[in-house]
Amino acid sequence: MTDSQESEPKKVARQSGKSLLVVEDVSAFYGDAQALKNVCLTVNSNEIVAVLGSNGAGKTTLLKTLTGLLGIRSGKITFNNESITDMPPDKIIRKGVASVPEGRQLFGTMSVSDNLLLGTYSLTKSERKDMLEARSEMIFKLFPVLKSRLQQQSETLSGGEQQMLALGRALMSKPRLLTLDEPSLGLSPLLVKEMMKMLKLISRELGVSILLVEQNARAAIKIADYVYVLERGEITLRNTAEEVMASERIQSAYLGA
Amino acid sequence: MTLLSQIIQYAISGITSGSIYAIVGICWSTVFLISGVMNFATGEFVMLGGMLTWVFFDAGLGLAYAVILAITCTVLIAILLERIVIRPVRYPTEMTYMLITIASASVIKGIILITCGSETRTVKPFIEIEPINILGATLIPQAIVVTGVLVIVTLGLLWFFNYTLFGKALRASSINQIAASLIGVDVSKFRLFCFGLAGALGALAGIVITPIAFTGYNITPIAFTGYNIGLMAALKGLVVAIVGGWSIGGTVLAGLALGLVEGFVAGFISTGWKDALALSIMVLFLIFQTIDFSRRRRKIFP
Repeated sequence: MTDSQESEPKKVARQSGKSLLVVEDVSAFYGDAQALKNVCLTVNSNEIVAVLGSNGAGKTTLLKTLTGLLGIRSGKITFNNESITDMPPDKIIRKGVASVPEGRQLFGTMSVSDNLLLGTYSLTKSERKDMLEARSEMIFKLFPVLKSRLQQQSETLSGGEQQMLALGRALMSKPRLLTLDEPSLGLSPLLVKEMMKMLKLISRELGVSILLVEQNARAAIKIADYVYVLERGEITLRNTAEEVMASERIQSAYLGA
Repeated sequence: MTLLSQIIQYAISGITSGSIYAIVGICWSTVFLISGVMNFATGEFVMLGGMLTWVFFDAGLGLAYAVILAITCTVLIAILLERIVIRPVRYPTEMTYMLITIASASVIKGIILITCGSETRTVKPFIEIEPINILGATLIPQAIVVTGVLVIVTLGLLWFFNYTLFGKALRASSINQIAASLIGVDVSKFRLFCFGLAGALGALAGIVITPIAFTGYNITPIAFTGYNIGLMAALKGLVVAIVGGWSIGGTVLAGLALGLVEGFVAGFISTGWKDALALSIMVLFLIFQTIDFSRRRRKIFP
């Protein structure tokens, strides 16, 4: 196969008329240590994008910059044709970017239903009412176990259930883009498969774009439309998921498969 | 005075002062849980509430107006404290916060000393009925006010934190600030709110004790108000917040327990022992807990 996608200049973001999230030339630092180097990335509407990479590649850092938890040194982040560069997290979620952060970050001593309710915190009163009625129904259909545990403290849930709750809480904010930081971490292979299927379904049913950051490349590629590989803070590969799946060379070079 | 009436008398004064300790303890925890600040100016909120009420009352305002104004001013001062001296700290640690709030407390105290004098002050009781006699013990009406305020504050806060979205979001922020900001909470506004809330509650505590006068049997430790009541009020509040595990329910129970123990110690042994006793309880508790702070802090800022 030709590697035309790989040889395209790194600074040019993938072009598309309906791009939802555009990350242009973003660099970020922890103190003096550079964690992201001129990262360019695009997520289109109704698309699942996977960012793959090993530990320390900068995957979590990338999500932190997108959700406003970490400021960037240079570059530009645009969501829905509006700049969200340097916006604090509580403003970014109101633009429609929800996140399932690393380690789930549930409100451990609060009940499952309170965690879901707090997911709607960024909404207006009438939107909240709609979400609590319609979307929680949908979330319970996807994850029936949550419904049976509504009054239970969220820290007493199993790892998989906590991941479902974190996902549910993020969905309650009526997002247009959902970012997930290693949702497969700590889940059994069977649950990972299950979770990925859910993500695909959620993206299709709710019209939510998904930006998925994963170490588990195989699981992520299966549901992704487009794949980026992040290595030491740099995007070293960008291609459609189909191409990546088809190319053994790419898989062995970048994904250690 | 029979033994029974003595016991009742000491219990009454114990519960009265315990109610105050509990409210002050709640002031500590609302600020600490959300911002990680050990606010040693908490006691000055109590002092300001009492002193400002006296100032406004003395200037000829009605008691109700004086109370409302005093609470408003204390809330403003608490908010200014957060904005001017707490927020600008660039690399905050518990120690810097502690030193800053201790220094701020001294400043507030100094200003009140210069402007209002060093005398103890009092205002008229809120309800003017005769003291009630219970089996030979005297229940002064203001003690009922104090306990009533504790009951209202406790129930109000429990409702607020457990049944309103805003209250739940506040609790969520105290559990995990990063997750809270990701669901859309502006954590810095919440910090400001908590300082304001602590200012209001502290002022309220300071106000309701201001009319308590020393009567024959009364051994309530905090009576009247003066520029220097802040430190002891703060320390007692800190004791009950720590012993109560920083929760509302725990703090109220610890406050009442400490008040009762102090009441009986002061009554049957000596009033000189009660402050030493309270602080010894704190020291012992901290030793046995091997200082709970670090674990809590990690929970707040994971």
